[in-house]
Amino acid sequence: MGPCNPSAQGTVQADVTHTMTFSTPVAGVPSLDMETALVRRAAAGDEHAFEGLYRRHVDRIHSLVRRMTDAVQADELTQDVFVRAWQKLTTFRGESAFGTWLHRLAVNVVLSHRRRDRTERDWLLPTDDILPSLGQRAVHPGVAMDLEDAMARLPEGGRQVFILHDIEGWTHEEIAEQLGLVAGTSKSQLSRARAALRRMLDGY
Amino acid sequence: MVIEPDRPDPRLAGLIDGLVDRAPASDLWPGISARLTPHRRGTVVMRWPTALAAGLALVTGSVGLTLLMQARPVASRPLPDHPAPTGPEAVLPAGFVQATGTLQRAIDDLEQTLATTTQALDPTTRDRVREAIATLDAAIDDARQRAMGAPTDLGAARYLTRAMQRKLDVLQSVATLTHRS
Repeated sequence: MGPCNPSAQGTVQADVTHTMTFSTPVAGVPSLDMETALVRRAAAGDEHAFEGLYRRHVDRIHSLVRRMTDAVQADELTQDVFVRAWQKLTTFRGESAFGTWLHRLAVNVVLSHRRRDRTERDWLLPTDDILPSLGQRAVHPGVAMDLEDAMARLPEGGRQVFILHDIEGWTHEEIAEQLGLVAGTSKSQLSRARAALRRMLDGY
Repeated sequence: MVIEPDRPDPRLAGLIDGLVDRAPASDLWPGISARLTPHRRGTVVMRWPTALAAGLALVTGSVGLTLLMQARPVASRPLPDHPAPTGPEAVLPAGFVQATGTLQRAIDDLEQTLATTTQALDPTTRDRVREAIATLDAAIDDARQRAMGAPTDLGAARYLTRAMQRKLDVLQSVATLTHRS
């Protein structure tokens, strides 16, 4: 877990330099209370509180962004997600958990980046079609791979649907709305992605 | 008609449950912190007489400053060569220099290898690859000039890394093609 877990003394470490004390017993303090306090402070402009939120969520957000894009872009986009979260914190009303809100924001940042990237690519590399294996790593028949590697090889659409549905727990309706598809397309993309993953995991 | 179940099969579900979230290789916080704009900092609460006095002082100060600026001859005002960047563009993302360095090394290595192996490709493909690489080289030169002209411009930095990544992708694809030939 991150550095924001309640300690035995009823004090929680918000970050390297800041501590917060709760008046309620430690056993009764869920981690969410700590998060709510950090969100309130951050929304009021407290950067140290926002750093606390960053430390709690960076691993999940970075992993989500890396899976949806690639390792090269993950750092930059993760930074974009947190900067955007800081800018939009005042719009967070607490109707969902902060983590859920942040995940939605991360998906939005990634998808808008992909849209922008595609437009740029169209201009930048009109000769993409001459190399059908562009961006694909070599597949070695008969050698099974782990799920992270296999996901990275999925076509972009299938990968996004698989990650959002099977890893992040979104419904097809939510995915369809976010990606501008119909739910049926999301389902068929998921079906194809799972089948491709099974083949890759088996080494075929 | 086969209906895809909402949950993945047990094996895939087990692998998904076993996925581990990994921290980024370097701490991203310094880059984020530098991009947090000050308008989000704490709100100052004032009583109305104080607010009124502060407002009047602000208006007086602004008017005074404007009159002072108008009184100065135009020629004596210094014109900056480049306006100082403000906001998110002012700081490049963490690891940018490292990323471009790594990309350049990878590109150099692959180009060195491909210098001898592209002969295995048929002439038509070889020409088209050459054209694609030339297009990308032009894009990289353009991006590098833009990035060097504005060293704190986030957009220019992004553009450069993307152009380099595209070239690396193409070279990797060519390497795969030559390996198969």
